[in-house]
Amino acid sequence: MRSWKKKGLTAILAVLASVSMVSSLAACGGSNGAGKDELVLTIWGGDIDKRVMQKRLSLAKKKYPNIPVKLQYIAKDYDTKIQTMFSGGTPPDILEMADNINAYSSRGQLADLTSDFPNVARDYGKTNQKIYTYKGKLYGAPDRAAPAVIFYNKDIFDAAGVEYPSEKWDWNTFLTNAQKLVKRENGKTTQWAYCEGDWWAWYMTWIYQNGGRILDKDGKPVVNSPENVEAMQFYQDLMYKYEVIPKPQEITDSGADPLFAQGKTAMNVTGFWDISSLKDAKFNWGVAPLWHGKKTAVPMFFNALTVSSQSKHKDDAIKIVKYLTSKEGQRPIAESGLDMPANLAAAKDKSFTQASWNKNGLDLTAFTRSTSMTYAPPLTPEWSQITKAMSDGMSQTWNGKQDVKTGLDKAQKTLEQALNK
Amino acid sequence: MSISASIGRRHRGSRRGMKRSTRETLFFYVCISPWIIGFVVFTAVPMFSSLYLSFTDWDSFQKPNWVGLGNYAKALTADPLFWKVLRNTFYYAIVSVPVSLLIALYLSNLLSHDFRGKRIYRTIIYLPSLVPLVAAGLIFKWLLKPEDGPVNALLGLFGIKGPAWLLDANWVIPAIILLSIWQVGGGTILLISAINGVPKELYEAAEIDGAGHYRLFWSITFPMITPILFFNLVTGIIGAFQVFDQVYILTQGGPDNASQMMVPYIYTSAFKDFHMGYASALAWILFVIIMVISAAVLKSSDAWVFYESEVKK
Repeated sequence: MRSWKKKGLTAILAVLASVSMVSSLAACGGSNGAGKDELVLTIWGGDIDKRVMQKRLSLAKKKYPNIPVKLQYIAKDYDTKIQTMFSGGTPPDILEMADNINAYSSRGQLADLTSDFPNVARDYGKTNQKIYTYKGKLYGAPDRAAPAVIFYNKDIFDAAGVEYPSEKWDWNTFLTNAQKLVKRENGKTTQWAYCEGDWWAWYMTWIYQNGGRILDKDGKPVVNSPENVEAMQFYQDLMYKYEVIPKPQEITDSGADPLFAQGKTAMNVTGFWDISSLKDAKFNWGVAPLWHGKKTAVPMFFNALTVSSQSKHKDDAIKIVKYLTSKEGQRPIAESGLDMPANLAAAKDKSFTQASWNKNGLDLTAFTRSTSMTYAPPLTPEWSQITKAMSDGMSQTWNGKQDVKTGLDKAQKTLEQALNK
Repeated sequence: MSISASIGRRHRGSRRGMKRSTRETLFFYVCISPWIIGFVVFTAVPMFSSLYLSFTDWDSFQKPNWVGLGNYAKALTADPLFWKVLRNTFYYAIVSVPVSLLIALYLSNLLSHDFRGKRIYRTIIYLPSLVPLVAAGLIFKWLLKPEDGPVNALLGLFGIKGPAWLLDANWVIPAIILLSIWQVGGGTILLISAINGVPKELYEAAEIDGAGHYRLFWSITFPMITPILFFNLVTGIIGAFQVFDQVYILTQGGPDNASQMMVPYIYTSAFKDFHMGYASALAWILFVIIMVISAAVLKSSDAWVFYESEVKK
């Protein structure tokens, strides 16, 4: 009896121990739940993303009544679920993608769209072309593409007597003005000029503005170059030498967007989405294109529509994608105030520049003017390892516990190892 | 015996051509088939596919290529993160499991006595276990704020300058351990019911013999609840080695992987880096570690776990 009990217990332990980890890895994707000839389109985001895409699909239906498309909205863990659908052999026909795109395209999972978008640079801008091109082929149809802008608190600027920010600012102007925008009481900072955190759109922008890069033209990491050291030194000095932006330990339970919304920072560099978050802000604010360094470099927040290479209705899927990324198909993005359309004609259209939701007279040309200033980050198939190597290497630098060169050397070493396979 | 019954029996026997014992066996399998099917489909098949995949370079899209022991060799010899992550996981498990268990034991002993407001205290102790981990994580981020968080403010009263907790490589795992201890209520509740299940006459007899509080606890309560302690220990060890949510919510493994643990690391390899084969190998290494430790604890149970109905040989 005792030994039986023991065996039983061992078996139960084995099951307990293995179920949660092993099965989660090998679990196969479920069916996509679509009817036989229905195309499936997957997107992430919130309610508004869902509504806008439904609107766009109903427009597409008018044009292509014979191509039914089913919207599958994945609110949580989009990347993991998509990956599982592909592994299980039931990928969606059309899928929204962003940073991950070349992890998929390099593994032959996405349809080549090069010949379907012959004028991608003219119609969507050079940055979009660079971002979605892998080894000379285009894999994504640019869908949404708003450059980052400076959101600034007019009340703080007025009180400090500082001119509003613009693309004319260089790093010196930024630093001089930032020092005027900080407020300290009894040795404690109550108002900062600006705030950043561990996000590629922030640290890479300093690097690119200083003429630095993460990968060189051959794809070799050049993380610890002198330009990058200089850029990251400037950034670290903003925290520890000039104390114009908060140190990580001062904002562990907060971040740039909430601090700006609370009126605790004068400026915030972020994406289009912050417009709707600031709807109820109790101060006056505006938007302006980003400052520049030795070079002009503005990050862009991008997503594309891609077509699965395994799709049984590839031609139909491409037709739908072409329509959704046309001027007409992009209109609901602008009208709803969801984002800036990637299609330049749609972004120049009145539906965006004079959008009815823009009641406060926000200067939306700050976005359209910035498009030509944007840079393409190194979106290789190893993108997630690149950003992780940067965070791992630099976190102690940003925490003030390690000098800049050591952090960049660490990231360089990790990346050399990760890319050397 | 009535005729109809005997006819019935003969009739049934001839129709099925089965002996009673065979029928019973069949019935047994029918009854447990949901469990067996569930086990095969959701556990055995995925487990063995992941064992197979651990010998391949599968990226979750393309055809897997056989790489033999390559993934295991990479983990043990070439991946600098593997040992760091393994050490972190052991550190977390070795501290959090015994400390949680001791605290649960202490609290359950206190709360099993009769006193005014007993129910309220029990509720308070158990409440943290009801808070979703995501919310608990946010609360902890606030509690552990380096500059003006309540924990460091409290330490400041004693003249101690608190660390930056989640940003400090030396203090980040203790911070995660704190969160696990905060959720000690579940184990406490189990132990309270175990203590309440100890027959009263044992205490009465001992009290007549003049036993004091300590004696009552160590000679009666403790041995009588060892099976539940044992259960908490084993599930605690398994849970600690598989810690995921706490790390994911509080630190994402930072700073510089100082709080990275095995399961989040497996997840990152599989779903961020697309190294599904390598992740499977890591999962199996972890599985073997957990099996060995569980087996060792199981073996030790002969020495300290007391089953009332059992006769010691």
